[in-house]
Amino acid sequence: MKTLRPFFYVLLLTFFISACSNKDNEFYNEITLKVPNLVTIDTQSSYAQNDILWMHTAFSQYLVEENQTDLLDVYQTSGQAPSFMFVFSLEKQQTNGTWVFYPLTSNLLVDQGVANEYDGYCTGYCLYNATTKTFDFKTGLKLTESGNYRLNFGYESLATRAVTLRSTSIATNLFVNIQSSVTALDSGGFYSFTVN
Amino acid sequence: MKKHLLFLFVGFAVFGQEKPSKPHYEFRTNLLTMLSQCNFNASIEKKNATNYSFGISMGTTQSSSLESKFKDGNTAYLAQWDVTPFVRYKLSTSNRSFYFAEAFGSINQGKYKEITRTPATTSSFYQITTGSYTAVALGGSLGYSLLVKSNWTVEFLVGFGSNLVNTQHSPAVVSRVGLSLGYQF
Repeated sequence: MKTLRPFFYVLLLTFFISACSNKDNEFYNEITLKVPNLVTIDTQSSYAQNDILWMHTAFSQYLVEENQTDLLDVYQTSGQAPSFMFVFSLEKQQTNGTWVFYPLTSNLLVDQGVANEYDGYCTGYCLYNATTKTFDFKTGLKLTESGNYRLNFGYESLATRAVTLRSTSIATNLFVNIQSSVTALDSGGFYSFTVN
Repeated sequence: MKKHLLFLFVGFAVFGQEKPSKPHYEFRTNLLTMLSQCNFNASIEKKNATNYSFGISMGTTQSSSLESKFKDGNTAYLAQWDVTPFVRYKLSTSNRSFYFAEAFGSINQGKYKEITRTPATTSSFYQITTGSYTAVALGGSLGYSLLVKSNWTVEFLVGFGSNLVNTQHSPAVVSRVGLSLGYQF
């Protein structure tokens, strides 16, 4: 029987190690897909004071999904979420070279969807249009002061030059995250411009 | 005369008793999981003259809060019942208090939750679906048993195992943790 004792220790060690599994018992109530160029920044070669920098989207509820042959209905997947939201912020360069959040307040001009600002962070909501079956958003940033500016879409913008659109799903419905690259962003994840 | 009667009585009392035999079985229930997870369980263990013993545990979880957490929360699995045969090896010499190592198998059943892509008329959509799993795990535990009073024991146990079949729909890790109250007979 003594010869079996090492067997127990080996067995114990084996299963303690195997217990360190990567498989997660947590359930993540969301899916993520990548669809490029859903959000557009209407760039200009130069900007003057009181110009408006527009950004907009009107993406379909039916989106192409990687490695799938048919379209994905993000509206139904999200439990008929009324909107998709994303974050953005505008920064202005100070005379000493540092960047600070630039408050937009009344210079945030909402044409479609909803946009609001809190402490320098802006949130845009692309509202569902049942007629066109699209999620619509169009907002302008009125540039009232000269200087160097840069626009970004939060962490995803800095990490992958993309914007993350997240469904405003309610209750226990699935959340849909759409990572969408934005062509106007530079390698650092910013759209930089100067207002003369 | 009274002295003789007293001697006779004490004599019967002392010599009339059989020498208590060493308990061969232990019945236990895990109070920790019963209180924390509404897991009602029982174990029976056959003790041998050697350092080895073997037994079987059975448990079922009946908790509306866990059911609700599984349904609406971020828990991927809901364990419902398990049958766990085990073999133990006593690591200490004392019979009153000792550490032990355990190898166990577990047939465990429960519910799982996953996200599935479902085709519709012209497109597809994702939805949350639930199902049942039955899996078999192997694992190991370490424990400590203490004879507290007469034939009553208290036992601490910590162990883990891995499900080896139906791994896609069953939890990767099966834990075996307990603070049990037992009775030897």
